Amino acid sequence: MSVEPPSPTAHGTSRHGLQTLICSAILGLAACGLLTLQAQVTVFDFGDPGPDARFFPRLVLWLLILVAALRLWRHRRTPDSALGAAAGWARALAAMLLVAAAIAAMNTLGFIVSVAAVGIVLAWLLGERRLRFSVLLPLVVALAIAWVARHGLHLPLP
Amino acid sequence: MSSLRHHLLWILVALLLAVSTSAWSADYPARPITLVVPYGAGGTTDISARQLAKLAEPLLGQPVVVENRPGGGGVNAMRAVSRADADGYTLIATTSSPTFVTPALRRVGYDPLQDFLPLLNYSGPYHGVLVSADSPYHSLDALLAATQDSKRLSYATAGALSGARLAFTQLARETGAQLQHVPFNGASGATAALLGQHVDIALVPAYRDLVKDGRLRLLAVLDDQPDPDFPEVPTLEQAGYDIQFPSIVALMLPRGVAEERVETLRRAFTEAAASPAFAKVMKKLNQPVRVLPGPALAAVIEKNLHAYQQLAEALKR
Amino acid sequence: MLLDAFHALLDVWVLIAALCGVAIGIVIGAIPGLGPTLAIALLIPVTFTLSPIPAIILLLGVYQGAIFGGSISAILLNVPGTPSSAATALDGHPMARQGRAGEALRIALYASVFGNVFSCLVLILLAQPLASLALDFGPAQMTALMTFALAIIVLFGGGSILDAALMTLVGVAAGIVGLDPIEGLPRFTFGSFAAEDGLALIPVLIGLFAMSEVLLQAFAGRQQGPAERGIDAVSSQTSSPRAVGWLSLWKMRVTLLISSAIGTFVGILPGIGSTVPAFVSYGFARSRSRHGARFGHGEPEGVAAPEAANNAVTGGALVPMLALGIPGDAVTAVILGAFMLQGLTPGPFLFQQHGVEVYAIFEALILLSIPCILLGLAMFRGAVHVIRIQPRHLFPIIAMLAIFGAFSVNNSLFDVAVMLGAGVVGFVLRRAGFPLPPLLIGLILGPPLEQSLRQALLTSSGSATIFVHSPIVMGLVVVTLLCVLGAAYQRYRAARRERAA
Repeated sequence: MSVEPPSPTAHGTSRHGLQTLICSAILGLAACGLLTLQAQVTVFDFGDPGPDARFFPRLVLWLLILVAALRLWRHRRTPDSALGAAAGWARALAAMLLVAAAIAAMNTLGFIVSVAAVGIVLAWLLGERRLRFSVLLPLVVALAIAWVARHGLHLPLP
Repeated sequence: MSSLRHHLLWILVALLLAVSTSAWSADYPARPITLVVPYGAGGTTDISARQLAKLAEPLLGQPVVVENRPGGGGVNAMRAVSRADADGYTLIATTSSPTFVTPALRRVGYDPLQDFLPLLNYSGPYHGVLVSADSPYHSLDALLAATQDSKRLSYATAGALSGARLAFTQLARETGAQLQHVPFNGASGATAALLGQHVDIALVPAYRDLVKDGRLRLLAVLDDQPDPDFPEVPTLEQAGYDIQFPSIVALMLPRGVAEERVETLRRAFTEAAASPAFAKVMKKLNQPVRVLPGPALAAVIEKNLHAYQQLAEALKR
Repeated sequence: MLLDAFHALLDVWVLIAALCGVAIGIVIGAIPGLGPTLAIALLIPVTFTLSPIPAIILLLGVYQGAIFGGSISAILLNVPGTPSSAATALDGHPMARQGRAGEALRIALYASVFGNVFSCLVLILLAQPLASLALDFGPAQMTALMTFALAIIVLFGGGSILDAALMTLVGVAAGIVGLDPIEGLPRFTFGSFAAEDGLALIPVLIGLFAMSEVLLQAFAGRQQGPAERGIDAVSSQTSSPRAVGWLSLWKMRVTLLISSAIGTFVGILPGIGSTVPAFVSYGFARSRSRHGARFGHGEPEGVAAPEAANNAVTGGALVPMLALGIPGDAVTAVILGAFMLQGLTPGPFLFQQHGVEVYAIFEALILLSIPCILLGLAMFRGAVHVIRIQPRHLFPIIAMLAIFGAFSVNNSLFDVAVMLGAGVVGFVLRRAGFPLPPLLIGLILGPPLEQSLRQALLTSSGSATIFVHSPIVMGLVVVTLLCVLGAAYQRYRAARRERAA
């Protein structure tokens, strides 16, 4: 059911690539979840019969570990797709940090400024250098969204 | 340099304006008032609050802007309002569960008694004890008696932390009845489960038409007064059990608002809630209008919060 | 009765309400994050001034339009506007990339209309008996049904079954965060109040599908984005004769019927919504099709199946709401409020007391297909050009809309952070070729599955016999097992054919 065919830069394979990494991460997270289960889920006893609040998470996390391990084992010889270009990761990371910073700053800077900043920097990251498109377009869109949200949808934007 | 001076000038003007508005507090309200609704747009609480806001606008001389802050079963909005400026420009239209049910059971980040000033109660749907129409129980006593001999009856409520559940838990403790709680997502799910006979009892509001149609039977009302649509059906207290779950829909302010501002708001909203226009909309929504002044409301909240806290302590063991 | 009702529709306000409703709905639905619930809630004050029939038609028009509108952005941008159109993107976007955007949109539109009409006919003919059928589905039956749906998604979703199972479990695990559905106590919230609501569906959807697309684009940098390859979409769309659309629709009539039936049936049941039936009928269409391998690479049937199903949900969801006054989800709950404000209190007395109004509304629901088709076709002419926009102009705007959409759900910044987190996860998983739809379905079905399972065990005092005693449960279990066997047989045959070749 893969939506995305391998993107243009995903050429090449490697022994321990993305798939192995992801499966190991899922395995690790599920194990962490099991270990912190007692602390993170308090059980309030009303004397109910049947499974308690810890039952379902425990079941799901064990299944997750099982399936992730199974996948790691079955694909131990299939080559993974390579991580890809470092520059690509840097750009994607920059975009992530950009949005994260915008979320963190939204309460102080307000919606319009931070969202417009996301648009402007992202346009620049994607290679747009003309001012008309890289600055004006995101700014206009941010203003338009804010106007519709406040007056059309009555949303309390920060 | 000149731009800096320009800025300073503006800041000065803004400061002066701020000082002047706060000094002439007689001018309250000087700007739009925000009424927070702790649930999503379009629900009964939202529609009735919007109607009340619209009717209070001409009395206050300022717009009343309704702001939906859904999430956490109303707790998120209560927490936000408890931390809002106590200047009389932020109100909340809240219900029973974030006011005295959830805070009794778990940490919510606000104190419903210390952080809020109850302004006015204006509604509150009656919660009934309902059984299926072909069930053998015709009274609450018969129902409770049937559970004594090792038979367990299940009851559905609108959610894990509903007041109805606590009231019935207490009932079970006092009478020794074997009652099993089954929470659903919202009252509609609980009603459907009763109609499909997957549970034996449901504690839900909005039962009128289903009872009148002969699908469900109303055995008692959890509130402190009988439902005017079914005056012959007793409350739990009238049936001889010292337990109640009063349902409220009330306006509350963060604590610390100046007394004359509270008075202005109280007058305007009380008049709006008592108006025939409001009664008409509430009738359409199949919701009662139950006006209760601030002090009486505060007493209801305090009494039930303490009762539920004690119950929660006993349950934690 | 039906004729009286029809006379009630001959009113210019009805026409205006229908046109406005459908138009607003399509636009709102196409914007990621904004859905029918918000639009309907905001329009309720407007309906105060209208008489009952146009008021309700306006709101139902929004409902129908929004469910269809989501597929426009799903097909053109691979960014589903509503959760239920995530399945449409699976084949719709590949079609758009092959220059068949116009064809994909038209199939989506016709399939939507088919689903609508089908479910409305069911609503008119069978509202009362179906409402009592819905009541037969208690916790135990819902547990079995949701298990069945998960099995279909994992088995017939396409791609590796192991990967799909892994992603489903990740989704279910993510659904655990928040308040426990039975005791109401926090789980894995790490003391944060904001996390108590759990990972909300819409922010996760926007993150997985829209934000990850932006990140993929940032990763690819200045290279030609996927969107640019679809430029010839517009030119080929004008040349393709309209008859082809109808012919291909006729060829998939069985798929349309099955999908609409699935959508209507699931719509009647409370709390599942329209996303799951869309994916389930996609899985069914794929497993039935002779060229199942083409699914996921631009197969028109893969667009028609989910669109017919998710639109059929609208009629189904109205069944218990009107007949019993019991809304199954957030949208119908809001529509219920609108009905009450118009003096049409849904419930057992609605059909007796307001028969003419109700049947007029039903007829209007069917007739709403006409503005739907007209407005849809008109909007396609403009919308198809979206695909021509340079990615470096388009994706900053998508990112901005994603932030706004995630915020608008609960007016909370926590949801925006969830959206970003889901975006990062979606980005990494898509780069590795893991399928995202099972993750989405796991997140949607996980919490209600746990709730139903535990509810069932509470009502039976902890004994599992409740599952054995119900014929519905046993039937569903048998069907699920048959599906597992069928999938195993399919794999076996495919493997043998491969070896023979």
